[in-house]
Amino acid sequence: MVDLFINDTLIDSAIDEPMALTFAFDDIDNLEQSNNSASKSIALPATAQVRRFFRFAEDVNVLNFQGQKTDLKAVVKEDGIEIFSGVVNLLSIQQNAAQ
Amino acid sequence: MQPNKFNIAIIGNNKQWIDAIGEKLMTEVNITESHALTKANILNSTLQANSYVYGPQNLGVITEEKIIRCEAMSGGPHNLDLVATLETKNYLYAYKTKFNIGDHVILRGFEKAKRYNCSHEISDIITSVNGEDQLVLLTPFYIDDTGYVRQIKEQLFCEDISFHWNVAKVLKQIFKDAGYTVSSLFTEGYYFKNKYVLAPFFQHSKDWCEANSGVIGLSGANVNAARSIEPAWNTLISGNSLNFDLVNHVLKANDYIHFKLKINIFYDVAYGSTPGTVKPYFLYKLAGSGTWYQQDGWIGRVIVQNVCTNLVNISQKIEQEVEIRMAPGDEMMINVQFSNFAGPDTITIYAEGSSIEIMAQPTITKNSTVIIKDVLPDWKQIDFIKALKHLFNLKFLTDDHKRIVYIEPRDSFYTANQVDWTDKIDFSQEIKLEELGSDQNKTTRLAYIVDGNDDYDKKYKEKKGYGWASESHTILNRFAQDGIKEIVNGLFAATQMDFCPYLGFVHSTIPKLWKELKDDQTIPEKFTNFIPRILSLYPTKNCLSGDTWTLETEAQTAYPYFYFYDGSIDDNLCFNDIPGIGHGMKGLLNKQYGNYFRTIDNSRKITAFLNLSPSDLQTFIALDDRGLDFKAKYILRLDNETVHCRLDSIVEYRPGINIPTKCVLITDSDLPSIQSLSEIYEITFYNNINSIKAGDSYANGAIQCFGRDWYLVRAAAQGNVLGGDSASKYGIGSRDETLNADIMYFIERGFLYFDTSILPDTCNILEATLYIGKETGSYEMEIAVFAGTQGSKLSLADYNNFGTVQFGESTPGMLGGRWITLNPAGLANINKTGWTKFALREKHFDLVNIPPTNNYLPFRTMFSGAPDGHKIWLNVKYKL
Repeated sequence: MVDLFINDTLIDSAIDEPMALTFAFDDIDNLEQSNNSASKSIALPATAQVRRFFRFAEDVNVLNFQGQKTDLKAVVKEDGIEIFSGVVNLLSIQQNAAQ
Repeated sequence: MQPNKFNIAIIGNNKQWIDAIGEKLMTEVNITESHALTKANILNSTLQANSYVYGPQNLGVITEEKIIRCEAMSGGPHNLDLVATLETKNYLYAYKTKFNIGDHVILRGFEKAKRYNCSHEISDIITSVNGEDQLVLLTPFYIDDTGYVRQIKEQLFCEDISFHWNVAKVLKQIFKDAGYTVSSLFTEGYYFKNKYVLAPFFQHSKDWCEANSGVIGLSGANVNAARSIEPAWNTLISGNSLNFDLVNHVLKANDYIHFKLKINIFYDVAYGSTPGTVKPYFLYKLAGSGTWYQQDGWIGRVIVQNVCTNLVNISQKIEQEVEIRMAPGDEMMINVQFSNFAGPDTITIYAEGSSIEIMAQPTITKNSTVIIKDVLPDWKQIDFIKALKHLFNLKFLTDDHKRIVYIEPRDSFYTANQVDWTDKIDFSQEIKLEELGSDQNKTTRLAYIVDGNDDYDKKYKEKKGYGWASESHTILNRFAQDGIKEIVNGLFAATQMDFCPYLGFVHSTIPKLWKELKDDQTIPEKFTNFIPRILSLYPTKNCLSGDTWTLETEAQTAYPYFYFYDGSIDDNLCFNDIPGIGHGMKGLLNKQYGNYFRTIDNSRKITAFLNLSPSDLQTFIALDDRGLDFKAKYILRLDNETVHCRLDSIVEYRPGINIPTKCVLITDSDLPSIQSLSEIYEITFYNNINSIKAGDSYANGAIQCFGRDWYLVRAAAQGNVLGGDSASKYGIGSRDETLNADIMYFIERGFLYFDTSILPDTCNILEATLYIGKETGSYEMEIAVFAGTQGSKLSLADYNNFGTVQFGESTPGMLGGRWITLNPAGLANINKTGWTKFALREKHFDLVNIPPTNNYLPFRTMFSGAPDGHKIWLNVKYKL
């Protein structure tokens, strides 16, 4: 079981795609290629809790939504064991045109 | 519309320090430590736990002065003095004078009397009112043939000396600024802590210069009958007027500043019907206490070149540039004078077109206070770290949770801990074996930047095709591709060590930052610019064989010894070995890269899929205290063979999905580390460099207490007299003395301190010896050593304040040295982060509380200002 905590809040949304975590030495010679513990982007289903957490960032009229101006702390736990810590960047919000 | 998905990216913490440091400049390193460029600071810089040390270097800018006139001044047939008049110097000579009586100078340029083209001794210096210097020279004794005067032996001035900044302290602060601490045996070790960088452009920042610069305008005025006017400079045109008093119309320095002034005057001459000649002058006059400084008259008078003749009602513009150095509070009047101007007519100076441009120069003048970070070069911090990585083959590993970055050279990075991952191998998937050499060139060369200013370096490169101090390794692995891969350090150039007789180093060496001598030269040209150097420091070394160097007229017999290689210390920053010197100094390639190249030659890359659990990965997030992470050795048993590996990477572990993860490992072919962690290091600290007198702010010296009751004297809360200078007036002892038929008891106790902060914080001290010279003293007078508790300044109250545990004692005997081996308690007392202090008590009477029955002569030593051989020192042997 994988749990994602953002700013110490457990996100109840199931993660659609598996994360891919890479572990290696800190590579200061190739800054752009540094991939230590970096993951690709992850899509979180827009549950009510997720929307509330990000302070309804999907609303274009909302100012100062969660993560807009400050880093969000992220921790990933697998079976209760912490296997990743870092920061979260909100990249985009995907709208459902049919609704 | 309703949102469907929130797309996020999560980024690992351990990339953050790289990002945080990546774009920052060295000038942003938060080292606010400041220091004034003074003679005392230069001489004492190695004694303090500073981020910098000043070292003698050939960085002076004035090497010779142009002679504008030279006359024979005395009449003896065999004894003729010369008076050489030097061109006007546009700086306040009070702050920087290059010639001194007794110096020897070379004259050049006599065409008809060639015998004067030689060396002369200066017997007198006459400073004229116009700022010209006249040198009175004694009879020549050495023939030379060229048109200037210059000193045979240069003396260094504060402004000539740049500082060397400590690599370890700056590195530590860079990580601290990024929110990380560094854990490293290597960077805490003496070998690394004694590395310093010497970079050109030791100067004030552009911002500082701008803040101290401005353009000042004036009110128009008619020149009075005296033809001399002090214009009313009262308008700020642009910039700042920090250094100009607009009310009193004077240049008023608020700091130690080197100025360039550009003065423009636009004026009208009203001659009437008779033509005349105008010779305008600018005059500079220093203000004294309350009145203008008159004793030496004008401090500078510079004739403007455009003399105007035969003028009839004409407008003129004159312009002049001068350079001066000023101290805070100095005031200088700038006057305009018109000479050879006859008649009752007037001269009118106009505001428009008249101005003083005050341009503060970046020169760090003597007494200037500088902040370390402001004078660091404009490098990116990450480039500095990369340059160190290149030199010492450093590896970095980050603990996200503890915010610690582990840094060690590759050879000492790995531990002996073992993790057996055989059971985790997914044998159903391919296990791929690859040769490491396949992506390598046959030859790898490690090199420094070739400095184009360095003739030797340049010629070496032209001749050999690569720079000196570089070294190459031929890859043995047959899969390596043809060709040479040169890996050049990103910041530093290599430095030869050489004698510099010109500065007084005839037998002693200093880093060579000057050009090769040309055929007609006796004095080498100095570098005006150079690629930064990395150097090691042996804190203070005595000059060899009577060598001395001169700092602002005072001869020095010791110097902070910076070196690039030294056989006697077995320390070599060249990449190549230097055989035949000392123990045969290993270069950085063999010292730091041995196992790296051995791995490329012999090791193989294994790519396998392993069934890893969350607990296997946890150790890579919060690094395991047992070292079971990247630093460990991993064991795989393949085909009944045990393979020892290093873990290179874990690739795309997918949490929550129970599938094997790709892991890359490198088979281990390391030999035991060449630079063993058990290596024993040794360093000697001297206490008595500073001179001490009663009341000085130092923590060494002696305190005497006296009285008629022995027991009251011994237990007194404080002493009566403080002292302990080089004359050994006070020492360590107990005695009685008959005064007016009464017995008077005297007890003297000594106190010492050593700045031992350079010791690695984590080192294990194995042995320490305290050396104290017994200069005078009765046979019975010997000493016992305790911990000192004195503050930074010894006071009478320290007489009875010290530790109670004894660290060692001296053995009774004749005069001479006392070597006291410290016991374990004494070793524990050595402070690795600050001062180590000792208290010394006389051991036969004071220590055991027995009143003396003789008027013994105390054990006297030189607490400060001692000559070589009499200094008190503490030798420490330790291992990392």
